[in-house]
Amino acid sequence: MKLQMPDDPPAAFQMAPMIDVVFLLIIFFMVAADMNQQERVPVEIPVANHAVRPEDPSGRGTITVKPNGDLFAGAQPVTLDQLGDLARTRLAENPNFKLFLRADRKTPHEHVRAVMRTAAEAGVSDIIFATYTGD
Amino acid sequence: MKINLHSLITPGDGDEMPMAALIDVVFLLLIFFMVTSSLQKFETDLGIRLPGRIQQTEQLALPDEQIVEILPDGRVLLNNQFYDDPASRDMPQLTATLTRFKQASDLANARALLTVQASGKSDHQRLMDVLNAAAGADITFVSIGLGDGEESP
Repeated sequence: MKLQMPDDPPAAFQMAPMIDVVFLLIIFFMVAADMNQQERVPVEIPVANHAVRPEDPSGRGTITVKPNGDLFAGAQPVTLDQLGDLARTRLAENPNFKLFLRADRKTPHEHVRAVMRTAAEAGVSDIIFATYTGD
Repeated sequence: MKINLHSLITPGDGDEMPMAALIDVVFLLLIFFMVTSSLQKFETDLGIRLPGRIQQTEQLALPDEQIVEILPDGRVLLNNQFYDDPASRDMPQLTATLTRFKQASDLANARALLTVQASGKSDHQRLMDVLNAAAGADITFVSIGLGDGEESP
């Protein structure tokens, strides 16, 4: 006896869930790219092959030093005096406060030294230099 | 006259949204954001500790100290001897010398301390090169002094 098998419906590619997933991925990468660029003043960070990727980047204040000596706390331009006040405030809130110093590779050392001197006078002893591990 | 309302509301075959073009654009956007996000470099750490205060009752272990000078043109001086080319980023000669210094200090049970005296006119990259050489030699106690005869902080 010959059995009559029911015809399977043709396999259709489900477009709607795929588009949902793709849009979610796009939103993720857009937000991640935007978050990476927040509070980052563009400078050419120096290269150091023995630098390490931080395990715990919390408790840091980012200071950017441009080649002409301009200072930025986060994305806000500041003077040395304001930087000292800021460091004292942050240190009072968090005794383990660290200064994350992003200086351009072409910045004359005197500008970096002025920031370090201000940090030392404010009582900040931990200074971390931002570097890249390769060109 | 009788009008078929259903035929007015239901779109015909030619009115459908072109899905192929939409998916092309969406995939292009996805690839763009994936590539640009992976091109962003991670910033890494090279840290120092500025000198702090200590209680006088604490017993001090005197460290072995070496002083590295960075001249305005980028040349690096240690014990009256120049090390490496000013354009050298890895500084193999300085790294080797500092490694021997660290090993000698460890054998003597002393703390290897490196003080960097950089000229105010030298580039920040040169200071990072010297700190990188110190990190390569496993020297963790590094202090930064002042060059050009300027007063200390």
